[in-house]
Amino acid sequence: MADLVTHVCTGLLVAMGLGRGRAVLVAAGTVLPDASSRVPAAALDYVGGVPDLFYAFCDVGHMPVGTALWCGLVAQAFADRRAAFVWLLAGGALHYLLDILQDHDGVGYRLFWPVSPGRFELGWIGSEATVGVALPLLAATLLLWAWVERQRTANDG
Amino acid sequence: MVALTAALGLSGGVWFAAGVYGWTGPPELGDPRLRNGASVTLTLATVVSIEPERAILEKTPERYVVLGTEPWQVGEDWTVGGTWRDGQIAAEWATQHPGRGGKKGLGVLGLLLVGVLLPVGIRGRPGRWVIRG
Repeated sequence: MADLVTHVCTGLLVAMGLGRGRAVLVAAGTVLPDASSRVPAAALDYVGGVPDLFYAFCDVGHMPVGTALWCGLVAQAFADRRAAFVWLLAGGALHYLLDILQDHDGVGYRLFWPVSPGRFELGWIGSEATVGVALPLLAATLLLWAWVERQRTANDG
Repeated sequence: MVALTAALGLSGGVWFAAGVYGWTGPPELGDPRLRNGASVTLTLATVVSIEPERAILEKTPERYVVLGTEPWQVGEDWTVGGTWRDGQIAAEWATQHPGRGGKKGLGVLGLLLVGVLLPVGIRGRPGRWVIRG
């Protein structure tokens, strides 16, 4: 699993040419899989003694089918629900693309549930490979985004 | 909204049932169906204590006894692969994860970052949020 800063940066980098609103939604979509699974699971761990059923709800959040449902749910808060869903889902897809690059010693991700319970990963980079570059990547991403927005404003003006 | 919430709840329930009835693939750690001799992998667990020839690793909320003599230190994060034997893991290989603590901090920063970015990209009231151009 890559760190969330790197996930957000990938969303911004991929979508910054589409307008700042769409870029932000894609970036928000990149954190949805972890925000809907790891974060509540950590909260349940802190509480302690929670039945496994509640962890099952967290597990589904880090599968594409669960992410799609969460994107749909979050999109309900928008006037243009369809557009919001599309951009959030794009971010979610980017999340999985980055995650499967990593090597978790064969314990990959359940991408195809409920069709298949199998786990999958490419194992091209280490599971902590993004930690050392996250902050420089964030700085570079924000600078680039500021420049892109400035160019957009200049072209529109 | 109601349908999506129900679908999420249903999917969580189905996943839970799948685990109970063994539809989630080969048994993994924590599965009562796990049998002696099965290959297991304990991922991203923290060393909580070390004894001669074995260590206790914690993957919250569970703790596992790992038989082996890896050069682990208390507090380190490891992934261990081996054989399940009488409620313990006989380690055959192990990989350390030295950067994991930093990843947790970056997780918090990532969530805060999204919180800061949202007003940049959307406007309006919840329920009628508009995506900025």
